[in-house]
Amino acid sequence: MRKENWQDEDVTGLLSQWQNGNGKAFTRLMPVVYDELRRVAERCMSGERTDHTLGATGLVHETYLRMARSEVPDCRNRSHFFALAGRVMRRLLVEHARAHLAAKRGGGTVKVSLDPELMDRPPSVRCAEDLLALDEALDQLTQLDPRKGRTLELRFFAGLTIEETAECLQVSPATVILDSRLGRAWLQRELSVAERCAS
Amino acid sequence: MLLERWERVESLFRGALKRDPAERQRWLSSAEEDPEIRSEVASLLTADEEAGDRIERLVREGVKLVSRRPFGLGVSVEGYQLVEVVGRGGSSTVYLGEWRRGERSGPEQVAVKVLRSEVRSTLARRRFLLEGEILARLDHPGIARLLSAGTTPDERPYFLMEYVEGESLLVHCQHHRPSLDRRLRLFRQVCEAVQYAHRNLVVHQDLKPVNILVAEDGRPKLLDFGIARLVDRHPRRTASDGREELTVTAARRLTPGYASPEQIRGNPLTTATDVFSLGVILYELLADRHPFRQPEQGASELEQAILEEEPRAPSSALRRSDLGEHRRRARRVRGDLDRVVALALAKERELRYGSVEQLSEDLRRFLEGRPVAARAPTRSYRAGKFLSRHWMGVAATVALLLLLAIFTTVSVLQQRRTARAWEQASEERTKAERERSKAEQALAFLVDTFEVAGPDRARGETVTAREILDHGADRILEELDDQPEVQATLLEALGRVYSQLGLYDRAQSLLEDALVLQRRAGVEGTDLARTLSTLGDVLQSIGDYEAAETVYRAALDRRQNELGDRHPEVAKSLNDLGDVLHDRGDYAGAEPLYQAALEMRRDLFGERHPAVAESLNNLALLFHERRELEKAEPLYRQALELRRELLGPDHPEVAVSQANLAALLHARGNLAEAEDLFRQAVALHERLHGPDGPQVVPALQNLAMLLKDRKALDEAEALLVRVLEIERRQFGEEHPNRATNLYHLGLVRREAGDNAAAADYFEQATELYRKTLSENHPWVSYPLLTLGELYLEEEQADRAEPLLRESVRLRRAALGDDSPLSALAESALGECLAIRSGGQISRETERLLARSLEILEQTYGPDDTRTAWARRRVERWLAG
Repeated sequence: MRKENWQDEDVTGLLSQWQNGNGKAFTRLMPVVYDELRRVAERCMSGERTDHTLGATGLVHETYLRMARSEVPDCRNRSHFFALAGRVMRRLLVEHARAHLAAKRGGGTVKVSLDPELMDRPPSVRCAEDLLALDEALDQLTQLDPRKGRTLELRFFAGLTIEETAECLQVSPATVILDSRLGRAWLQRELSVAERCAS
Repeated sequence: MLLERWERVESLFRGALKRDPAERQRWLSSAEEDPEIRSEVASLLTADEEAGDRIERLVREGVKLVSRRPFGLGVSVEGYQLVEVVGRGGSSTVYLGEWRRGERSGPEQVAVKVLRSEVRSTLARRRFLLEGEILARLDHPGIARLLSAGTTPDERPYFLMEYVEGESLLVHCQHHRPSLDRRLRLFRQVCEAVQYAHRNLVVHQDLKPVNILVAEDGRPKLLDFGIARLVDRHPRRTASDGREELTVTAARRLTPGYASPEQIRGNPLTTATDVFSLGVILYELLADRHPFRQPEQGASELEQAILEEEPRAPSSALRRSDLGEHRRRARRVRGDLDRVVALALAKERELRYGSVEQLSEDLRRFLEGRPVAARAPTRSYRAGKFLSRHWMGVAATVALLLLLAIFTTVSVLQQRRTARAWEQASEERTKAERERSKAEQALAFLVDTFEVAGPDRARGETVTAREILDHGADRILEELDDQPEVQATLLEALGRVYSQLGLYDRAQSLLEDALVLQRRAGVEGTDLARTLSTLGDVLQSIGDYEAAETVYRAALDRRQNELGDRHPEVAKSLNDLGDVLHDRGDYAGAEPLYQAALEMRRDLFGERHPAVAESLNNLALLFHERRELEKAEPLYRQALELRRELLGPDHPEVAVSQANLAALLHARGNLAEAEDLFRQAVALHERLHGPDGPQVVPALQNLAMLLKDRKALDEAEALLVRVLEIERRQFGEEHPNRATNLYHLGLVRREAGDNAAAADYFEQATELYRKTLSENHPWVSYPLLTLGELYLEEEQADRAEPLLRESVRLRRAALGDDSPLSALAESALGECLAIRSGGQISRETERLLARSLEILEQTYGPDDTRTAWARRRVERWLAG
């Protein structure tokens, strides 16, 4: 059995370094978590029935359990891990979406616009395109209002609850609720606009 | 948006949410003056209502995308991991799945059958799903059971079935050498399972030993209901004895050797078709050999044998075996079991067992030592039935009597000639010549009789006519051994007759016999040439162009040697040779031959002669295929006019000319006149040869293509399906014509927007052309190019590239670099390369795109659709 990557890294240690403002720790943790998320995803998906019930949240939790081993980490560590995982998850999804689109379009980035009425994109391509649009929109929102961006990332990609998000961001739950709502509305609007432009 | 504004928006949003939805608008208007900010908040509120859980769902979908793995070995489905590939069918793969989870509630092993990912045809998919449905309703120990069904992550249907480990039926018999009784009992178990399926309204249609596995416990199980059909619930026919029959529409063709005659013919099927297949299997169980199969036999020959030949009785086959075990078995098989088999294998389904159960019952009686119910269908019964029904049989009887009369005359004649010396009285020679010409006339009559009757009308009812012919052929071979020249002449004549009937194998063997005889008798010149020539016709008809060419050349040589450079027979040989080179794709070689034949005929006959019309037609056809349309049209028109005038408006050659000219007019854009001519041609062919005569095929094909261009897709497709069937019956499935038909069907499907089905057809056509012609034949490029273009449309440029490259290569080789057909392929390739390089246009790409446009502009003019396409490509990729 291959030695798992993350055992080489002291995840808990790195996490606490990151909490304490050490940006480099984040960079070291990212690929590890990324890898693990992907592996867990594959393992979960292939074993299950074809209608997948495990979503992002489940994956992240699953990954956390694996990485945390037998240690029972303290609350702060845990939420920071999830924050990290959320970001990683997002990046994972986006990169896969890009790869998927590239594969479907035969390697070139130029879109051949033959008769567009003829083209009915398969569902996986639409999903990938939508994900990329979501990612972009989320970036824009983060530029406009960083706290909302991070809130949404935690809620959607890491699957944190309101309380967990509040704790992670050191704000009140009410703030989280409002941030989520406004942020979601904003994203919804951006995505609808994008949709209308593309058709 | 500035931060302050955003903060303002946020606080308004918060405020609005505190209010009732109905109030919000009003509150907003009063709380904020700035209209921009107001509209910003309003739009966010609307979005808030619409949002739902859209984003969560999207993320979930994204997760699925991440973890997508190709379905195959190693993957698990429903808890079973796929560990091995155990079978590959036409469009599906079967895996062995083993339970991997721990505590289990189901079997430890299953068979997982999945539709292959390359299979994109909706038809294949539907068939697959239907099989699942069928299996689901069958629950019998003798049938592999369906456990569950679903769809893979990459959207392909699969189903889990009971895994049966065992040997196929015949292999089992080879290994275990069961006794006769045991074989019969095994067989009866199979019958039981089949009968169960029939009671549940399922006809298997593909029963064969490999589909029957004998498990460890000795029980046989039926597998692979892949092309089984659900039977109509409303019986449509009443058989002659008043029973109602359940009917089914014909399924696709299946493995030769076990198909019933009605399956081969494409007629509606009943449960009796399974009876026939079981009969073949029973024969094999009893005799350890196949009733119809011969060594070195092709699929279509096997089919013909099933349709026409009576197999030797199983006991008789056993008696001839080297094995003592077989000879001993023969004794028990003889009599009753022979009769049972014969009844199951009756070609007319009314004469077979009415049900599988009846067959099984008879076998039970045999095992119990009781008499069987089967009655041998006697020859006289069948002959009587047919002769009264088919006038064709009567004509053939007459022909046979004539034949007997002829060779009696001829043999007397021969005797006289050899008995006397050369320098005999001239009156005797004249009389002999008169007798001889009488014989020749009678032979000509024979040939004409069959020609007028039409090969394909005769084919359905050839039983008696064929028997009589065969009988006649046998007699000639036996009784004229001492007169090889005469024998050879008659064999050649009979060979021509068989050829007219479309019975090419028989024709070929008779003609080859004739050749041998002639050579041995020292016959050289034109008599030999005629036999060679007729043989060449047969070889060309069956698609063996290489052999045909050799033989035609030999005929031409002899004729030129003996007859010089100005003779109708020489002209015919030139034409024949040109014809076969034309079929081989050697346009450059064919043209001078056609020209030479034409000139010779004009020289011999003047302008107004049917042979001249034939040459004009052939030459025109050549130009037509090379797309030199302006050259072809006047020749076609001339040929048509000549034929109408010289042969009358109802002559088959007129129909040929009509269709050819119409095809040309179609290519030149004159669609109305083309359609009119095609329909005339088709009608004429139908009048002459019946709706299923193969002569109607070219006209139907062309009409279908025209209708496709005029968007009458349903009619186009119906015509093509008809053509497919006619040609299938005549040539089997290994013939280039079939590939052409498949290609045309693909074009129609594409026009209808069904790209998946179209691609399927194009692939089949490409493969078949390669197989039956050669890898380098220009025709391969047609479906190949179209398939490549289809992939381009589907944004799969990587798949398209090799296909397009190959098309370009083929066309350049066959037609030259400057041919517009090459240019069409090059233009498509150019676009493909441009896409793949992401807009980085290489030299090669530039040259491809630019040069092809040039050629197309020159050939078709700047306004033609094809030129326009090429120009659009150039504009997109090369401008700026």
